[in-house]
Amino acid sequence: MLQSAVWWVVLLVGGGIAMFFTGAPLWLVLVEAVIAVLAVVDLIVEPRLQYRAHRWEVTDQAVYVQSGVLVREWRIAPLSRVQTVDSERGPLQQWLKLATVTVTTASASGPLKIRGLGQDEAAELVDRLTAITEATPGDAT
Amino acid sequence: MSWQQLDKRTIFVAPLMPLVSVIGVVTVIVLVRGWEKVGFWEPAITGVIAVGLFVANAWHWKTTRYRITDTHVELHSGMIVRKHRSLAKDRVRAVDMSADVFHRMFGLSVVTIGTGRHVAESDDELKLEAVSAREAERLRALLLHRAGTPVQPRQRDGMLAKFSPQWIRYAPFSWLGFVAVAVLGGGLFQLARTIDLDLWNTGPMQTLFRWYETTPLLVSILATFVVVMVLTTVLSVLLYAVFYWDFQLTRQHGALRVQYGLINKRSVSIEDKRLRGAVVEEPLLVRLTGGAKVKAVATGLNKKKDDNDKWEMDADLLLPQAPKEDARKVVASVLSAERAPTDVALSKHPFAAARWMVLSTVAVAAVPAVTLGVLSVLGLTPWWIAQLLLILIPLGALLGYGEYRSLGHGLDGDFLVVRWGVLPRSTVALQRTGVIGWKIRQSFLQRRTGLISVTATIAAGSGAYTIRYADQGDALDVADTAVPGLLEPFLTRD
Repeated sequence: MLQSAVWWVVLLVGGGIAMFFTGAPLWLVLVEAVIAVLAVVDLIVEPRLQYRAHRWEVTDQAVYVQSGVLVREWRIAPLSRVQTVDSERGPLQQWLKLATVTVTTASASGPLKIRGLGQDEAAELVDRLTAITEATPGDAT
Repeated sequence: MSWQQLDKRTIFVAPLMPLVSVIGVVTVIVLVRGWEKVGFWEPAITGVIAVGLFVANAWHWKTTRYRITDTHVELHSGMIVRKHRSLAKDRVRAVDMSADVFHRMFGLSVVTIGTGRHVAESDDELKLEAVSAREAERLRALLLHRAGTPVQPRQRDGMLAKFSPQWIRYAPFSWLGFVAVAVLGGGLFQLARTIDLDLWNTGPMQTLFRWYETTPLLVSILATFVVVMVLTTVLSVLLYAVFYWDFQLTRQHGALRVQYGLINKRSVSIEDKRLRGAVVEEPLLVRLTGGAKVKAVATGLNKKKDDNDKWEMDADLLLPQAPKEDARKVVASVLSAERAPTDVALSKHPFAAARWMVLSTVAVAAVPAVTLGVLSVLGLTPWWIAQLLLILIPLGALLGYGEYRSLGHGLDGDFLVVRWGVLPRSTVALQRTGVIGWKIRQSFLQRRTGLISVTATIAAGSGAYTIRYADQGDALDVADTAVPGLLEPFLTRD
């Protein structure tokens, strides 16, 4: 969320400077207004919806991740086929004490990502997944 | 075991191929420009290149050693920088051989030993360039034939498919000919440019231009069409014969082996336990004439770049364009099934899917017409171009409907079968045990019409095969049955 905030600020400020120099013709004001509305939607409404739609669950057999508002996506991978478990924290995430856990299987079609976990929770999840994965042999290659 | 060297003959054989092309270029230059314009430098440079190639190859031969220990394959090489590479023997997934004309003349073979990791790194591959054909065969047997490979009871050994001249019938119905014509044309111009020849002003070209100017438009269009068709047909037939001559698909010691080629011999081995399924591809024209092509879905056969930065072609090929009956037999015997799972009756997708597919292709097809229309309004282009491009829209609708018609999915014994596409239509049969996860997508609009896209992820082939725009309950049922227990806890029954 903060990442996109940076982009929106850049866009708005850039537009503002343009308005200042061109004497603010009507179309530029309109474009700027649209950008502002989009920014508000993107920053305040969208993350909430994403947050509400993002679910995950780890059972003894499988990892399950659900995400997306307009396009819903569910991903399921059996734990016996998990190859690597990574956790990742960007600079902003560190500041907010959050982490993203990525679970990769042997398939080329993309990993499962669990975003916006609390740091302690993420560490615990990684430990648990690693333990289970180590206990189950084979990775289906 | 002790270290071994590459075959000694390789010093003289390896430079032959580049030398021939150098000599070829020189000959063309001499022929076009005449002897008198050839200075001192051209022959001198050619000579230096030739000597350089031999020296480099001799050095390469001298410094390269390989050995196979109980656990590893090791390769020691390097001219200035010494390199040492080793691969664990039980990680070797593929031993492929190839030989160009000169290699074959001297009974040599280039052997590539790979682990077939999905992240294709060149580090995961050892290339022996070159050893004798006998040694290559020995390596293949040694590395792939491991003791204790369980043999499935139903498995068929021996010859599974063999080249028949009748197959060539299907050659003209592919892109091969067009590609060949384009490459030839491009090559000709490239060559002309290198030797400073202005091709547009030569005699034949001028005559051609004059002919186009004097004949009526319709006749010239027809004539061009006929000439291009004849050219592509002849070339594609030739290429097909050159590529796939003496094609053989065999199974030995739990590994499939594909061999083919008239001039360049290729041999690809695929272990049975790496096999996750098979794809039948039917390009539109080939399908209409009753042909099909078969590819393997196997771990470690993903397309990768070879040394010359070209895409490695068709490493997964199990059968080139051939009659459907042969394709059926190959699929059945490769997958050790009674009949080809790709031939079962598949469940149709709901008609709502047709709307989406037609709508999406029409939208794409309309883009050029609309763009040109806008440009015409602005007075930048004449109107007739935009009007001509309108033809694309019904074609797009037809394509979309065709795509809908070919959609299908089903289960057949141990296999999950998915079909999609028109150009080409592909039908994949995946071993149910090979599916290592699901990805399920449903857009807002799909949800309203009860459609869903279910993707089976797999550690082989393209990595994911999608049942597109299927009926929600139907597709989830199939997915749930295909891999019992995986999806179950997350489904709510209605």
